Amino acid sequence: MKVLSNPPENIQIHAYLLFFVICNVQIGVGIFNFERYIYQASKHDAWISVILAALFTHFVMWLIVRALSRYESADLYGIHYDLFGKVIGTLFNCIYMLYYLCITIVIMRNYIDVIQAWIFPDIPTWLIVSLLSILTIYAGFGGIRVIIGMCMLGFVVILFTVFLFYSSLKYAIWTQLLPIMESGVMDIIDGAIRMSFTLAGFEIILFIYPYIVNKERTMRYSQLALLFANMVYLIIMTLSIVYFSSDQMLRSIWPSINMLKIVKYPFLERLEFVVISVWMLMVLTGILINTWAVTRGFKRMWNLNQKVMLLIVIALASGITIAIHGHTAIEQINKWLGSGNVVFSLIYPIFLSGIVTIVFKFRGRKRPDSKGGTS
Amino acid sequence: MRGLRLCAVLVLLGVLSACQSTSILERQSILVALAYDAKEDRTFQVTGTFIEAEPEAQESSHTISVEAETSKGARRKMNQMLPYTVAAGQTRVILLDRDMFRFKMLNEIEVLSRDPFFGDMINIAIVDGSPGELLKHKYEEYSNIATSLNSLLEHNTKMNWVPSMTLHDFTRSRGINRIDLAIPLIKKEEEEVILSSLALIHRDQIVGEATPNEGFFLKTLKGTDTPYLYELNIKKKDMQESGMDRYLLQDTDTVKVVFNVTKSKGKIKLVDKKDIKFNTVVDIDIDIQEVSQRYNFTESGAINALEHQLMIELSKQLQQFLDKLRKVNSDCVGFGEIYRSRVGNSEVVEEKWEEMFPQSTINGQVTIKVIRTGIIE
Repeated sequence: MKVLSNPPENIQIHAYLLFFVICNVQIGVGIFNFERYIYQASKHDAWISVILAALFTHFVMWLIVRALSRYESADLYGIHYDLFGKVIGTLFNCIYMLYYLCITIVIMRNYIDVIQAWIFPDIPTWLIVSLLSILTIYAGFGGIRVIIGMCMLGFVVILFTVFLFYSSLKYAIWTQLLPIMESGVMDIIDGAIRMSFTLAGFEIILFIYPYIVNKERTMRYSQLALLFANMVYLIIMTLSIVYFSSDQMLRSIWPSINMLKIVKYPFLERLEFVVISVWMLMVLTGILINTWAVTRGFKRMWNLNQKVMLLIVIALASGITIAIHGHTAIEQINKWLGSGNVVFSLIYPIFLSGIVTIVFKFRGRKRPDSKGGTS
Repeated sequence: MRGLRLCAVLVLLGVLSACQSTSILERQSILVALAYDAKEDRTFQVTGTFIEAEPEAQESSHTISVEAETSKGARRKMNQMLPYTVAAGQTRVILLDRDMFRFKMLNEIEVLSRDPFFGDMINIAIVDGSPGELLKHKYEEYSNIATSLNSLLEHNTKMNWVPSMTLHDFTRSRGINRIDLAIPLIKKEEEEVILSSLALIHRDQIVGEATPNEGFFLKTLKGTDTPYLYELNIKKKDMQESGMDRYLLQDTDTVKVVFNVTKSKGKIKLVDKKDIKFNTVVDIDIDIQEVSQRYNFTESGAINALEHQLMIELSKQLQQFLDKLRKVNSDCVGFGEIYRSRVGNSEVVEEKWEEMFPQSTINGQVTIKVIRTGIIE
């Protein structure tokens, strides 16, 4: 496998499109219930945890883009090969692919759980899994450009949903945000760590980077995307704190959907049903990007056909998703994956960036060799 | 691969255009109002009013009543009595009787918010007497009592003195000890249904009542700009302090003043953390609508004197209301929340506030600005 990846020009994208991709991977099904987990840790100071986590993601993104820019056009799969050699590189790549497969399963299962709890209590899991799978196959066959097109549509859904939260301002008790820093520093940090499940996903840039035409703008648009996603989370977190009592917040499984129960227009009410249904588009973009990252690994390492691999990956993800029963099991898996997120989205990229910096310094060269990597 | 994509498109078209479950309007028993009569054996008489979706139906609504131990049990029994399944998504009003509080059975109302099909904007009210009877009675005035009750509560909440009491408000306040509930109280007087006052609640018990004027103060202090038509009787002997009596053109013992509150703002300040002392100020802009005696508005100082007199009278009424809240130990304004937000130590405040609140000092002051005096001087 070559360290550098040079996709054909006709499937390359402009850096500004990264904004939509990163927004879509960051804002997913976790938006429905992230407040509860953070509130459990840092109570009414949860908004500080969100800011803290947000600042950290900006820092990690800076490190990632800096590390990527040391190579001409490499993705994580290539970088692993370059830094750790064939065997360990393949092992690390496989771990990442497995991680993205797990993320796909968790996204699917969490969304189905919401559908079953709110709209169709008696709908079988396999039916929604099939629907999502067919849509993923259909869009995934179109390749990265179609996936990014879906992300642009998804961005419209995010905007439309965020504006709906405006209604909850009417019931806000702003003093519920005070006193600031009543929770201990450790609790606030704990809240920030819990935020990782929701904020994970931005490291997808490690795989998309080779597809960007104007790579010098990557930092700008990726940071802007993070800023937007973090603002959305901060707004929803703050509104949840002022809208719910602490008791309500701790007992609500999906506080964000509960907040939407009050949205009411003379011609339309109970908009949460509309939002849950439309959110399928967001879920779909999440699944598409994650499965694309997995199949890209197969293509890069073993030159396997991405379309065939997509069918296999989707079949595997669907099978496991159907096998997960009950809300308790889903909560447990979310907890496990939450820890995985901290490692794969935050800690490992920092570690990787450090190694890249050291290796490049050690080798005393900034330009890659003819094979694309460094020697 | 092309064949596979075509297959995917066909399956998608089939699945996406299908219905998982259908809800035909004419085949739904649409629940609009629910009434709970509590019994001593901790069961309920649950009464539901349903609207008729069928165009050929003779009446626009019908009401049925069942005995049940839980809300879900009531729903099951109602389903056994109705031609179509109960659809709860359009429920607008929940009525409770006083016994619901006496027997501490309010959890049954709170659990309704667990059901995604019940909205959070359902209005809650207490009925003096039996709420079931109130729904079952055949009124000459109202074709559908459930929707009329909803309109009654909605417009008084939006445009008058009634503070918002939806299922969300109810669940939120029940979850914390430092904000008590104030629930609208409805009375049935012969063929009329009247929104009479507010029931002040503490720890799931009705501990007192607040008049509409007090409701206005409560709503303003809770931060809602409240339009309100205020009526005031001022005795002549009380007018000397402001000098208002000097501008009266007729000799009289009492003057009735009616004014419209066009703008209101409540401010609460914790001035002493240790002794728990609050200062509350209600700022209002008013438009004089009626003065029962001839009053010389043209003379300089007349409006200032009237303003001053109204301030004295309203401050007195506000203070009485605040004293009443402390006396009955119902912190429906949320002084406990303000105290917690300034002092911290949230868990202790949450636990001890019901002992601290009656010991606190709350001063009330109303400031008034007369914006206009109507269209005739």
